[in-house]
Amino acid sequence: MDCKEIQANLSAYMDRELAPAAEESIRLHLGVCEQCAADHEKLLSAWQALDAWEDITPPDRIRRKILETARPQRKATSLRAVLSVAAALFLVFGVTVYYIGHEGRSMQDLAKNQPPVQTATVGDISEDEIIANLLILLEDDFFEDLDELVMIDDLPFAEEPSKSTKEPDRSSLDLIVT
Amino acid sequence: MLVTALLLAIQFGAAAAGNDHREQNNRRQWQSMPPDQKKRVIENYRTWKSRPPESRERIQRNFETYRELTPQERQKLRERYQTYRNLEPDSRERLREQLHRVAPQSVGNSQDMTKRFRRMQDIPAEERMRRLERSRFWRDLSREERETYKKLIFPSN
Repeated sequence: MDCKEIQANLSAYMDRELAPAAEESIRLHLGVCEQCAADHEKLLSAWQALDAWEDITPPDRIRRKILETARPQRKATSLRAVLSVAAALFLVFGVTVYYIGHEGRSMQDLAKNQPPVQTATVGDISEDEIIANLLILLEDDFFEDLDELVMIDDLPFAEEPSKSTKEPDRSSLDLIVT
Repeated sequence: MLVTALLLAIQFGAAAAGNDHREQNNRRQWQSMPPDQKKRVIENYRTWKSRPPESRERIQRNFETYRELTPQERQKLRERYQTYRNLEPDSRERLREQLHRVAPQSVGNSQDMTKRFRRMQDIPAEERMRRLERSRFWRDLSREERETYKKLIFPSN
């Protein structure tokens, strides 16, 4: 240790807070370095002087004032702590909910011992695209006609009896049910 | 703000999990599909890919709309579809044209479509039939056409 490090650790050395090796190193240094030894002496004297002082109990009025000043800070600190905890909980919850799906899926895969997913793009066919739209592709016609199927329900309400004399321009449908 | 963020996170998480689940089901179904059915799906895929983007989007919207319906509502549409598909192709095409001309439509808005369909299910069949018979549209139909519409509107009758 050089003098700078010794000075930085002097206070800890006096409080016996250092590891035995570091304490021994400082003790040896203080034995050979006059400057550090002098600083050590000064600190020792100051502490001895402090030890000589008696503890004083502050008057109630001053104590209350100090506590009142400290209270809002304590409240703000509490609010910050609550918000931090809430934010942490929110993050944990969000991430948990998101990964429930993945986890559930992984468990199902394990249970069913599925082979690894393999998809391919051959020519104009993308297997991924087929899989993503499989339900539509299985019933393409049905979903294409869904608009009309729903519109049929509007027919009873499509046209109220009209008093207009104008003839509708509508050809006969001639529908045949096979 | 925190609660809103939390709700959004839940919604996002649930949606993501739902999509993953759906894709996983699709993948399993695809992998266990018999070859001839796979072939048909691939043909449908090629047809689907050759459609204009707006047509694909419309089908996609219809699919999402359908998924929002209750099992009973889906069943009604399935029954109706059977009758509809049994029409001769040219008759079906004319019916389609007529529907688009007569029925108030907002094809581009699937939410409107769902709302309208659900509202109609709340009205008793007799009342709907009575309203239909009063319309000028009904008066212009032939007997066969009327029977067809009756079957389409009330498949179980």
